Amino acid sequence: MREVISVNVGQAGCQIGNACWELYSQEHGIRPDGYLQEGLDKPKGGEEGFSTFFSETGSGKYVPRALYVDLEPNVIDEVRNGIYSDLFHPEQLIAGKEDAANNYARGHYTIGRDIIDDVMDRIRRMADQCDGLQGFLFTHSLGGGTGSGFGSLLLEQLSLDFGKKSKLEFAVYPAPQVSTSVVEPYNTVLTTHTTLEHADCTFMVDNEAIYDMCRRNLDISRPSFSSLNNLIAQVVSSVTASLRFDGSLNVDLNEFQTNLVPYPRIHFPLVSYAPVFSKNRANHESNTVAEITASCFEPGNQMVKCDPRLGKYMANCLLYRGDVVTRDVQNAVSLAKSKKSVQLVDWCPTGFKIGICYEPPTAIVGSELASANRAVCMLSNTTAIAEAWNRIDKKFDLMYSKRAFVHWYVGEGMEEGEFSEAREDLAALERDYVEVGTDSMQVEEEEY
Amino acid sequence: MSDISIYITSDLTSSERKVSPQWSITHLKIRLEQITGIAPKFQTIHLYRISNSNEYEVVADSNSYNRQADDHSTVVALNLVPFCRLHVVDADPNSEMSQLAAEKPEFESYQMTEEEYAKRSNTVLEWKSRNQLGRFDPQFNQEKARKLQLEEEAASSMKVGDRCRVINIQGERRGTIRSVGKIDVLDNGEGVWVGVEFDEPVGKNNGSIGSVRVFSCKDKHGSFIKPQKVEVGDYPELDPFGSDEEEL
Repeated sequence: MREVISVNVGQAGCQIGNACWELYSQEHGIRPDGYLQEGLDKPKGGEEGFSTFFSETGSGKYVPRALYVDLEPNVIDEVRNGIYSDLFHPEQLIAGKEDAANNYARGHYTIGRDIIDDVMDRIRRMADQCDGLQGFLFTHSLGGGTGSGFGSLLLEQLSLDFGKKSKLEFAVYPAPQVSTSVVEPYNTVLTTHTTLEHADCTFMVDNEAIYDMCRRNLDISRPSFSSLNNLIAQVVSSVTASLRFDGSLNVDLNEFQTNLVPYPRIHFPLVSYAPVFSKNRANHESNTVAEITASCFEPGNQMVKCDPRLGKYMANCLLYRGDVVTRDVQNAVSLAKSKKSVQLVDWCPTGFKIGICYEPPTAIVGSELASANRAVCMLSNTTAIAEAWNRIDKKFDLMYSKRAFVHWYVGEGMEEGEFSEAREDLAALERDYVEVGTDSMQVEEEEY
Repeated sequence: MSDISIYITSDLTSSERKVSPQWSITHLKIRLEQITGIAPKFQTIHLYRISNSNEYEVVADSNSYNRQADDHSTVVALNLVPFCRLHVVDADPNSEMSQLAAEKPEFESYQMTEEEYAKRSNTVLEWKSRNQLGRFDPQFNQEKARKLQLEEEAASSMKVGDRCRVINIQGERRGTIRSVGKIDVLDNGEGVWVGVEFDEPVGKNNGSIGSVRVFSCKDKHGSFIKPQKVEVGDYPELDPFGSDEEEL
């Protein structure tokens, strides 16, 4: 068996985790109490795939291979008291007493250190129950104190203890326009620097992009976290579908890295998803393979705001699910490749990988997203995502030039040198992306 | 009483957060400082019961800040409803926040220079050079040289003042050659470009690239084009109405 352990860290990480496990449970026919739905004699999707994400107890109950960690009790208490409380073993839910106060240093050093041994113990115990652990799927935010500080501490520890096991992240990236907290740029730069060599592949999700998608496509006037998270869960689900369902062209966790990451530091693929429309509009959309594929190249379907037309693609994976015919996919992909706006890096092998999972997406009960008989998730390693780093680096500089709020971090025992070291690393990352985009043999423009 | 989800905003931040009715106002203000960066004694808090309306009430005024009073009252007293909004205003004109808000848009952020980048290890540059990728690939440079040679051959028969035409998918454009040669600002001087002044406003510029002037002509009459795309010969100015009349 090829098990995957999900680790959800901090408020955003845990709430996205909730939305994901609710969706996974529905997709596999598991009730909120962990038992099979009425009329099923085994979980949907096939034994092997299912068991990568769920374990079975002797009594026929299924338990997610998941761990929730937060430094403060609020969000974890909600899981404990929510309708999915019976799905999890109490050991899987770890909450501290004191929060990270939006401060990377508290999550990474002071408060985080107190809880890390306990968390690693539980992870080791979960890993011991696996026959052939593939790796870890992380969800956290880059801007919050626990998500950034403790998340990176935990990734470092996992590298130490589990060596080469894959570590994939879903990371909530700060929205371009408004910050959730004033020190968000610091936290993001610090955690990115710390995790750069520990995470194998990081899928970023910017709340503003999701927010706009909810407003524009789902007709929600003021989307709450739960609307955003339901949409994010749908995306996470389509990325993991090939791991969870048998019969699809089965992808291993490390295949994401193999197919998408030509060089270890360049591991932030842009995620796009289609179709996204509300139940009201469902009847007016035709939703063919060609259409949903084309939608993935529209900026409005991206999880991070940036402009891929200005960048170059290093790799591209299209993960289809539901009622899909290979021939339609091939046609849609060759059409996409022929577009002038789709420029590939031509000095290293680049390609379009295709994955098909015949299990259609499931709509979460109470979500505004209409169910569709097919969907596609595109993961593309494009240099355009460097825009996101550029944006956050600039915000960092604005504050750091005045040393604003740096004393909050120094007060938690962090050295100021870590700020400049992290910022240098991110500047080098920006350069890395420029370097990827240069040396093209194609003439981009023939007239200026 | 259980926690309430509310929005917390300030001039520079906006987020959805949970607050506990049992918290003292002092604790709430400490939380708000961690989020907004505004110190408790300078917080003036506006409560919008409906998050996106314009009506608010002032629930804390920095002018009457009193730590003791805040210690003894709790969030219950604010009567928060789910998804209401607390907007925190900074009353300190010298605070870090006020300075950040006043920052000018032309602020230049730090960019690593090419030299600094080249010195680092574990970079894409190092990877490319180690594995002979891109410009570090000997074939790449041969190919570049071959392309340049083709361009130079094509351009060798062209001189300033020649009449020419350029045909692309949109049709034929005629004009006069105004420059032939390399242009640093376009592609670091890698290729050869032919500057054409078109008879009609069908070009991309006025003979300049950014602030660098190569030749002068009216706006939209100038373009810089790859030599292989330009044909030199007896191509006099077309009468714009000529072809229409023929069809009539």
